[in-house]
Amino acid sequence: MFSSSSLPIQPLCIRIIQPSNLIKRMSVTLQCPGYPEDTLRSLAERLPCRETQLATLLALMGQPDQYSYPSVFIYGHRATGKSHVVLSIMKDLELPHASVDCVECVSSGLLFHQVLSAFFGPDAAALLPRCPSLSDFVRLYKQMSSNSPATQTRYIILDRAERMRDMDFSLLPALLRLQELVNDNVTVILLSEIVWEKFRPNTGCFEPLLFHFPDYSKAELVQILSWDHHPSYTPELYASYINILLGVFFSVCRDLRELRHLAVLNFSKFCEPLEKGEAKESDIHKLWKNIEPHLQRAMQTVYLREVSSVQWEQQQMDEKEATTLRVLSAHAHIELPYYSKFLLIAAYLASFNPARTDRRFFLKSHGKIRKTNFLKKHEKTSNHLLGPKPFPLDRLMAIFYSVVDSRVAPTASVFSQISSLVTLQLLSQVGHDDQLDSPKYKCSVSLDFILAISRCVCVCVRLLDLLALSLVIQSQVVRQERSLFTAVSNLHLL
Amino acid sequence: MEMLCACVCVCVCVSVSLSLCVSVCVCVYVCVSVCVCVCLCVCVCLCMCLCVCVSVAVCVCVCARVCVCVCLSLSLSLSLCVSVCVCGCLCVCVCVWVCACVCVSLSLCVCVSLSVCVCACVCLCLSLSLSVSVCVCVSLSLCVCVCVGVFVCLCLCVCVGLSLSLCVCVCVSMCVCLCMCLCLCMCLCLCVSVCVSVSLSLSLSVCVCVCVCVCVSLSLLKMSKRRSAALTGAQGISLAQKLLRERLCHQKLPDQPVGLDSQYKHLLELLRRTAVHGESNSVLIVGPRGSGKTMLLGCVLRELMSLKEAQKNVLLVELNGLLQTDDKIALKEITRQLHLENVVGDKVFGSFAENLAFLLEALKKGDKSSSRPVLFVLDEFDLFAHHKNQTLLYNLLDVSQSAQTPVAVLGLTCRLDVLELLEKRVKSRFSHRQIHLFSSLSFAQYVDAVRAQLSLPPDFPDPKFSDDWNHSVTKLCEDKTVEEILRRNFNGSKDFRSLHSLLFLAVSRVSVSHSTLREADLIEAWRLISADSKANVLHGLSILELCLIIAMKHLNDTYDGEPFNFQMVHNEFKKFIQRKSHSIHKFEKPVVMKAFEHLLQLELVRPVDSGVCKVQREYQLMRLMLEHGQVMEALQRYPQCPTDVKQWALSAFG
Repeated sequence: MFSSSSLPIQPLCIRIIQPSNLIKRMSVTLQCPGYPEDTLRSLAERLPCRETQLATLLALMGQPDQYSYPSVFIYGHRATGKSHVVLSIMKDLELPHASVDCVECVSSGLLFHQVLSAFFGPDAAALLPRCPSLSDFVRLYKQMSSNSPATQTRYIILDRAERMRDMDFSLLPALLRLQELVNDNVTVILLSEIVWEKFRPNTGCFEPLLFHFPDYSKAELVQILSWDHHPSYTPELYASYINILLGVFFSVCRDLRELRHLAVLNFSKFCEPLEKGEAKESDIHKLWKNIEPHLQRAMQTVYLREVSSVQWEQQQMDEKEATTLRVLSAHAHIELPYYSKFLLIAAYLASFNPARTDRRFFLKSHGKIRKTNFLKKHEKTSNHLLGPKPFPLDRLMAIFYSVVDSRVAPTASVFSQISSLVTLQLLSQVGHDDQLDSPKYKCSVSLDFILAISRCVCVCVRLLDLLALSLVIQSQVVRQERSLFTAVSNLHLL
Repeated sequence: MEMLCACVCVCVCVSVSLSLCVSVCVCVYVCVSVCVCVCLCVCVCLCMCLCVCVSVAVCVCVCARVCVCVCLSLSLSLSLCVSVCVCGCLCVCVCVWVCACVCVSLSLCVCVSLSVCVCACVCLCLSLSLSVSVCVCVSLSLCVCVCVGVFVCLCLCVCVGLSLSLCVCVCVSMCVCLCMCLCLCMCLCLCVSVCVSVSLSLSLSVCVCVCVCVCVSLSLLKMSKRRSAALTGAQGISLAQKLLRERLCHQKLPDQPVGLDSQYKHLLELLRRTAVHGESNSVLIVGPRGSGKTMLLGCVLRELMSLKEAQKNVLLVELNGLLQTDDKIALKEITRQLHLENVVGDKVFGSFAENLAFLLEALKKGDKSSSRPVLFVLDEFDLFAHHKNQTLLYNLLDVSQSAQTPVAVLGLTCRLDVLELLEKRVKSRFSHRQIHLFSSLSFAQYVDAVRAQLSLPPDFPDPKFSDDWNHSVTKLCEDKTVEEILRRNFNGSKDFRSLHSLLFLAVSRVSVSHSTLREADLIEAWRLISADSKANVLHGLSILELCLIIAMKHLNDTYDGEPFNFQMVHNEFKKFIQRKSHSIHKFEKPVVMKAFEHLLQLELVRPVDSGVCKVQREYQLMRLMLEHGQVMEALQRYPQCPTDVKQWALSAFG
């Protein structure tokens, strides 16, 4: 939890955007011959902060009967209004278009089907053979467009175009030069989050026009988010709320959609003091103090999707009744058998410690400690950075016996617990499954998880907790090893 | 005896002289009749010519009949001239003549009446259409007045009733009756010439009338056209844009390929040999993307198809490696383009082997002289080399090698090493003719090409606008900054496609407020074209993501480009937070992980091998896909970047 002294925002710097400013911004007139003017105006009003993009896009498209560039590639971050702007233009100006989301197209046939049925009706799409190839598509398109030639430019809009790279290798280059292949006035618009360089095939292809949708600046985000203000409160209050929200989340997330979701979700909490009559609307500092920790908590849970928004609201209701803070981490709730927990701890130790150190850590009389060259050079970089190393079953069992406080017989139940840990994916088996005599495993849980488990095993495991912690420190700062070894050996002597 | 001799002599002399006389008479008559015939024919022809084309068929019939009659009479008179007396002959001739005359006059009258009717109708229609189209009352009235006036004046000479009936143009039958009466009278009076002259004058008047009408309408149309020629600015711009867009976007074929003259001639000669002389051939056109391979081929084929002997003869099969992704599809497409579906019937969808066997048989059955030459155009030739066993290429090149049906195989590719892709048996059947397209343009030629690409043609409807435009284009090309931009583009690539996209962006910015191409448009277009897309993406990252990128940059610097994993990055980031940061605050590890995954999704970071799935996400090895310079530039451009983050990025080791 953040201390309140290092606050990222100051409530005094909240700036409220004047409504007159908004109107002035929106009244940028678009000059585009060939399209009805009032539709353009309403379009510009519906797309705030995208006026320049709208104007450039309309200029690129030209008048409906003119030829447009064969393919346009529009890229920009998530929720910067790429598909919204393009689709609004298409729908409002009633241009012939086929909009396809590439996520939906598991095969290229679905894509062809959607395009043909959008342009020439479902009858045309029904003419496609069962597994249509690109050749079939182009032939059918040519045939259809010769029957009904384009009076206006036809647009094919492919959303999330990065998925097309996984489809047929020739699909993307062919679509980029579709205008030439079908000899019709058609333009393909690709929308993606990824830059064009990642799309280019080995031998190159027709280069589309690149067009970037920049991200929203903070002021623009405030302006857009202030649009959906609550009717029972003043817009100014909502704007100040948005400012507080952005103060917490802006450095982490600039995704408009996510911010909007968070804003709607937490607004009732923000208004709580107002409803109770504890504060007035002008008392922004008080409201901020109320909401700020709540938002921090939201960042750890809702933002990470560890709880659903319904659960989050539910919990807000609970909090109202019994104002107690609860840890909402999901991975703290795994219940394991007693020995399984020890096995997992042993596996963790085996994975993250070099095998050569086992003797020192787990034997009571480990002999003389040689100071020099105790750890080899490659062992000095910590496993906590490089990841777990595989270990054989024997080593796991040896460590297991040494950490379990009571004597355990090597029965089948213990071994079956290992395999159930593998099926739970807490351990992972390395190599092939048919290695029966000496299978190798790797621990695949994080330190936090191990600490949580060790905390709830028993008193003796407090020791292990310490051990694990000391191991972490040991692995990070090799220089202090000596003192640590003594500490560990002391612990074992206890 | 002498008396007898003298008598006989005299007799003979007299007979000779008589016969001479008769023969002279006959000759004179023949001459006269021929002359008259010719005159008549000329008259008729003139009449026919002057008549309106609607009645041509009737006239031709009549003319033929008259000719036959005249010919008959001539031959008759000639055969009878020796034995039958001149009078009888004359009588017959006159009878025939009169008959013919009556016939001619009748038919002529009918023709004339018909034509007059039609003419009147046409006049009315024209005036109506004019009135509708022009909608100017004055012009309409003027036109009608002129028409009617001229018409009436000319027709009054002949008959007032006729002209009135014509002008009103109510009943066709009445008109016909009148004509008939008139003609009968004329026949009785035997004034054929009058009839002819009348018909002549009538047809003349009709013609004049039509001419006047046409002239008036033309002048009116011209007036309206001239008004449209003075287009408003918006229309001019939209016309110019339409034209230029077609040139820049649609890759419309130019009249002559720029800078590829020798290749053009070479290819045309090769194809002409196949198309005209039936020589099989194979050739590869190799050049980088956008260098104009397809354009060159298009120009050559256009020229080839304009040849008379090639026009109907040559069969063209166009295949594209992008579309025909395997041999089976390619074969189907070939049969379809050769219109062999009917021959094969349902076998188009038969097995591959059947199709191939059929096609090869069809191609091998022909011979050099009688078969139609087939041109196979294989776009993206290198992709065909990836087909299984290269069956299609092998067979096509094999056919082109053996002297069977004349076949030309044209491959278009951007790969210089395309021959290495071919199997040995395929390569040996290829003629090893290659046409390389490497632009040898100098910068001055390049600028000329730019000017030619941008300027409007002389037949642009608004000459003033096109003059202004062309003038501005010329001025633009002389500008220093524009020249700098063009030079940079030229140094990047000489091909026309990148130039087209640059010019297209500039042209699309022209609007009503500024109707000519300005220097600022080109600068803006260059800015859009040359923007670094990765820098754009970096600009939109959150501070946390930017910090992670800096951490990765430091790891790259320290470990000399070795791959890293999330744990290392997080460790680096934590060190920064602990030691140096004042503005960035501690984030939970899952939050950092989410930011990292966003970078992964944007493909700014890429896993070293994605195949290993058993490794935990935190320990998967990654590489940064950004250059050192890109990160630093993005940091400079980042809005409100905290100073400590900047400092951290600039420091040498984390």
